[in-house]
Amino acid sequence: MRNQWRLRSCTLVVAATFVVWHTPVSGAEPASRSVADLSLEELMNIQVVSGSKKLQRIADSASAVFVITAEDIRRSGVTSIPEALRMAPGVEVARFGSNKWAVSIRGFNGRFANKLLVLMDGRTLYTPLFAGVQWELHDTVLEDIERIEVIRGPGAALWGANAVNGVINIITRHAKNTQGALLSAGAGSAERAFGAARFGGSIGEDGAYRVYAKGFARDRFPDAIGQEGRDDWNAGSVGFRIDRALSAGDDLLVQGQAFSGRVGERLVSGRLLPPFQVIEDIDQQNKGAHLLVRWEGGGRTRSATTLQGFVDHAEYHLGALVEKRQTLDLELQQRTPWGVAHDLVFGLGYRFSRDDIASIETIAIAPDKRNTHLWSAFVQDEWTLIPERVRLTLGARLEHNSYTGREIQPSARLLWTPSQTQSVWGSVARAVRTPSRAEADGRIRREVLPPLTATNPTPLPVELALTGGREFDSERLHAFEVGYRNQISARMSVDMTLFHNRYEGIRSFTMGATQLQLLAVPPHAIIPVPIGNAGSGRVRGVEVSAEVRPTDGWRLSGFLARQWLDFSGATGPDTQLEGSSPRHTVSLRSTTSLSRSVEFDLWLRHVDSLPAFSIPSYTSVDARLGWKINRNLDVALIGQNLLDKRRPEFVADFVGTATYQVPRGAYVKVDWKF
Amino acid sequence: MFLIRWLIACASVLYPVMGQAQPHTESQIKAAYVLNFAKFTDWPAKAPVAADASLAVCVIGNQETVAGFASIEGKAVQTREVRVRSNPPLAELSSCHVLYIDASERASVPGAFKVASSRPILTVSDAVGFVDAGGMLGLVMVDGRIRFDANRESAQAAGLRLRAQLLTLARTVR
Repeated sequence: MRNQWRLRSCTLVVAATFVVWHTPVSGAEPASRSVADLSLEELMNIQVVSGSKKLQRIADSASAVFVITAEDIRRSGVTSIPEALRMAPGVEVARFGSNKWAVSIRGFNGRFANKLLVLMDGRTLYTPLFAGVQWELHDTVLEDIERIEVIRGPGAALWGANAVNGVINIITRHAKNTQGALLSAGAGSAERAFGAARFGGSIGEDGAYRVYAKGFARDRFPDAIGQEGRDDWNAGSVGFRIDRALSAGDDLLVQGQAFSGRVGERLVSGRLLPPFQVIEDIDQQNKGAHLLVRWEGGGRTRSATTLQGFVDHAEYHLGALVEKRQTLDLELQQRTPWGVAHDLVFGLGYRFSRDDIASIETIAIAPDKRNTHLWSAFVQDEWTLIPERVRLTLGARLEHNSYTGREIQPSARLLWTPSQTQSVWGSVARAVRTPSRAEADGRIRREVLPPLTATNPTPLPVELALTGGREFDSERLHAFEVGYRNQISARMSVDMTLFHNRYEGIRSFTMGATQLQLLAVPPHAIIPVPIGNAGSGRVRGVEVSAEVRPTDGWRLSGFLARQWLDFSGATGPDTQLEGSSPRHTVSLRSTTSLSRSVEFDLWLRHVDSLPAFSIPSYTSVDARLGWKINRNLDVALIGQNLLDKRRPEFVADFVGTATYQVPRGAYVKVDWKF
Repeated sequence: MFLIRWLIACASVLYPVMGQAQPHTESQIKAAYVLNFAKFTDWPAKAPVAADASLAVCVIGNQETVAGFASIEGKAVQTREVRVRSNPPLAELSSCHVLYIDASERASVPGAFKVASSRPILTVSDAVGFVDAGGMLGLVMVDGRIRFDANRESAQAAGLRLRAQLLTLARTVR
């Protein structure tokens, strides 16, 4: 199996490379041209990213980077951040309710997926409660997002624990680029109604600001038999961003947001008394606010200093289950050249997180209050081995966290640029996923087996309880990647990545010995399912993405991601690791300008089945018709999931939240700028 | 082991792809923009002419910026050769044909404008709001790519003509 895979994957890349290399393309550049010889059109086509904590050309980054641009977001018709992430190769996005998503990169998908780091303007969106992202809490005006950088593969050496399988960087526009007013509103079926207002102005000669407000009401999604669900979702947010140029070339960014939402949820939970299972409709109420300040200092030398701090408060109420959390994060980063060949970036960080949790019978966290501290230091050296040809990047991050103590996460990346338009890279890295609060201190009632039934012939109800523990250790990853990129011409580019991820100490749940609770009221038995690190496995895969512009007004972009998952030793809810991620995902997007004012865009996706949940594969088509009425007014008609009346994409894990299906939908959107 | 075998298997295919290698920095891309801007700009007859008929590109910026601009040294603009001058004293700016001010040095923009204004000097910068402040060409980051804004009025006031090939590619022209 293993050899067969190697042969197949290599044949694939060899074949693809052959095609790329031998395709005669007009305008393909001779290898000897330098960047100074590029035309304006070619220069305008170069993409740059901040993936390595400094601005860089995509072709020069030794990692698998994909950028979702503002234009991609606009023309895809998506209305939320997780939906936008479906445009990136290697990212698994599945929706199982109007307000519930499972998002991960390269395997391990789940509502509480924990191997992904997501940042918005440098602020981490990760919750230490389960080491993942609560997607229903994070939103902004999509029109103000400049780009979303998706970096597949471990970014831990730079970004820290949790950046195990990837990093997603959501970057909003500089306030100078959002001047004037924008009113955006829409209405439709699944997207019942939404609206956003933003106003930007200037502060003196060197500063700019914007203030915004956004709100939406999303409809309930249907369940498996087409009945209306309980997952309606209403939320709103207000926020601002100030960018100011200080004297001496320094920049200041101040940004804040407050949000509040009501998220409909149907919870199925086990009870020790008949009927042993109850279905409750609860509204999840959430609210929160954050403030972020960043100062960037330049100067006459190549060195630069960045100092950033943010405070964040978030509250989450699911009936009697309450989580309140405060976070303080400070980060210092310094970039210094060292000799001719070295470019050094190093930094220090500290994060304090304080929580206060009110438990319920089925979901309990003890103790109810806990303070955690995370100290970190990282250093990265970009070492030019052969000027303008070969570059080696060595980096490591040392962290100290409240659960497992010290963790070290090194990486080595080699980039070879054989020509102006091509690059080949490879990397080796180690990353860890540190325990979350729930894994250390939590207890979840998985289900209650009623007495005198086939599964439980005893006269006592039996409770299956997933129990966390302080002895739970970090999950570890060793990752190997190779990639190849070619900007074949100003109109065509391809990007290929192969990865091999080896995991050790993956979270496992093993059935413990039955404990009788005869004196309890009511008397019952408990089968504890304690957490452990007994799992191991590997995920291998290949991702190919390409972009072609056949004419000036027509752009085709697509990707194919194929992965092979192989796990062992994990039991309990995680037994399903192999079957809960699609083996292949395909996406093809076409954006066309039919005339100066009419745009027609199509997006076709195919996602493989998820055998763990008996979810069949699906093919989805989204379409958008846009009409620029005049300079200030745009109208668009968007149809989503046009091929299916409704379809399942995922199921709820760990917590018994009811699962809903994604319906067909359509909406109209109007954007007015003045 | 897997990775090594893999690399060996595929290296032979990638080998013929080898050519002249050139990873480059953002500054090099910006310098390449400046070179293109100069190619599509017409200077008036009264513009100063250097003894060797070169085109003086003056750069105000940090070491990285200066290093990036070294890549356009000696390149041809029409019949003239580019000579890059890094961080010249303000008093000498009047002999520049192109003046690039890095965003990190935007504090020197007003001073440079005082010298450059009404002289036929093509002013370019990546500082935010440069074109609004009277600069001629401003580099801006849009959707992860570098684009530019043009201020034709400023150019005309200085006696420079920005050709249509340039203006049609600009994000905004005022």
